Amino acid sequence: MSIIQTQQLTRTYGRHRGVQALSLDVPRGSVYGFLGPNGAGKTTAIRVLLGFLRPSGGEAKVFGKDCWRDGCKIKRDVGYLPGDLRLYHWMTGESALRWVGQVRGCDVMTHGRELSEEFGLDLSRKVREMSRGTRQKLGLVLAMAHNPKLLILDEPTASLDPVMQQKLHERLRGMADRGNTVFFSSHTLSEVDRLCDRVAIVREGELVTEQPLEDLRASAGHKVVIHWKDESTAKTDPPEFLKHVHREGLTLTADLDGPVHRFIGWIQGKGFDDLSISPPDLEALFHHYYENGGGS
Amino acid sequence: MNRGLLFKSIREVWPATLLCGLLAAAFEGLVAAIFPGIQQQMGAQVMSMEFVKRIVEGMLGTKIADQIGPEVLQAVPWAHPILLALVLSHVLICCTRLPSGEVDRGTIDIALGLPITRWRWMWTETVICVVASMIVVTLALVGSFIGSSIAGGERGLSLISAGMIYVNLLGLCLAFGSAAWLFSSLGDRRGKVLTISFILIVVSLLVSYLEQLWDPAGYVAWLSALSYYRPVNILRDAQWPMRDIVVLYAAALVLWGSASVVFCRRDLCTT
Repeated sequence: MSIIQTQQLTRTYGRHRGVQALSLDVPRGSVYGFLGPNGAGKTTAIRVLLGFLRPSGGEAKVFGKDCWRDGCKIKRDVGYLPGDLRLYHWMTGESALRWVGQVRGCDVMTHGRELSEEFGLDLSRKVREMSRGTRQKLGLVLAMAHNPKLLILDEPTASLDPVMQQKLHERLRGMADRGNTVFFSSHTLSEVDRLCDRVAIVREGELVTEQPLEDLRASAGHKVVIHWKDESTAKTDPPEFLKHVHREGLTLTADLDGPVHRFIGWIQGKGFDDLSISPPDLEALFHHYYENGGGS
Repeated sequence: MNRGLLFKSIREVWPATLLCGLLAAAFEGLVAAIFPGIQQQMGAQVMSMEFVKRIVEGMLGTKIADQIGPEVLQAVPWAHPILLALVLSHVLICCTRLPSGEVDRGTIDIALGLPITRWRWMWTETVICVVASMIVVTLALVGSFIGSSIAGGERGLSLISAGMIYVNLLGLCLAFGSAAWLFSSLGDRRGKVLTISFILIVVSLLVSYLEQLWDPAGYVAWLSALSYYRPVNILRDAQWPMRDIVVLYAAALVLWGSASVVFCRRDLCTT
């Protein structure tokens, strides 16, 4: 079942492009990474999903409901952390939590306090006295305190320390395992690699790719380095599935395009001293998508 | 209404309400206490001087038939720029908080991320603004009554006159407040919205003032909300200014309705 579904979603700002014909399908219980360079349209898409902005074209649905018309109903089961989080400076962590509970009309204090304890957040401090990272923690607590079915996070780990990032990842993974859905935008590729089941990459408002992370990893290809035994074996012609071949003496470096077993089948019996096959280089792939939109 | 938003708004509005209310009460009280003495000190000749009469007419926004009588002096503190500045500043502070104030300080994203319809939010804020304006005007009246009782009590406002002034002044506040709300709904920068609203009030005040001194200003005077607030007429005629009240409240309703429609339908997020 799809939790978020957009069909040809378009949102423009006058002559400026926001998102263009964006079609997403976020399955229930997944951690979905929404990636793209600055100004790619990630925040615009999130704002349309939350009913802040009206789509210029196409449709956007969350829980099967229209994001603009049924925004209020949808948000009962959604937790949201804005990218540029600003809170009422006169509130304390405790009063902010109470306020969210009052607006939502449910008890969020118990779970909110548990989360605060886990994140090492002092709820008695005023927002104006909090550092950026602490405010971010409070924002996360406020977004997660009602145990939402869908958590939408706009660059959640920005300004969090590595320990806190780790705790958040564990928490998000746990939520997804219990059937909740996490949709988050990020610039940190390592966390996407560690956390996501599925990713969508947008560039200049358009969807470049949308697929399970495993498939993306497979398409990323491996880097292979072969150290030949002698001059004669070093002259071996590389097969067509080795791309960007570079020779230096007895060493051959290339990108593997295709499954590893095909390469293993080919290299068997050939005289080599050493062989290394590095894991898929997702970062290089993401950069490739960011810069070229997936084209060559 | 939503309890959470109600508490948040009360927390944000009460300091300005208390400050403006107490200052208005102090001003009205002071004037009510010292004006009878001033009237006695001023000779009839001064009161009948043409330029004094014109200045007072300009301030009160209406013609004074012959001499400046006690009801005219009683009306002065209710049309005085200090009182108007206090009550109208307060209403501008309250009515520009949503949405431009929220967008400006960047809190609109966190608030709109919660399950509350914009319409319900608007209602909650409306109740807060109306009640806060009522408190400020009530405090001004209370100050006036206290001042009058200190001065002897005989020349104070009657309860019925006070009621008429209350309803008329509240209508003025709501009309300007609704206009400010409409500007706020159309804009994203609170500073800009406050400036535009302030200019509207100054122009309105100027037109109302000039109307008595310069005939051409009379042609556009009907556009000025202050033309529908004449405390001297209330005190002189002792009759409900029904036309003025209807115009002010109708304008407030139309402007508030327009602000609601814009707020509920427009794109909103931190810019």
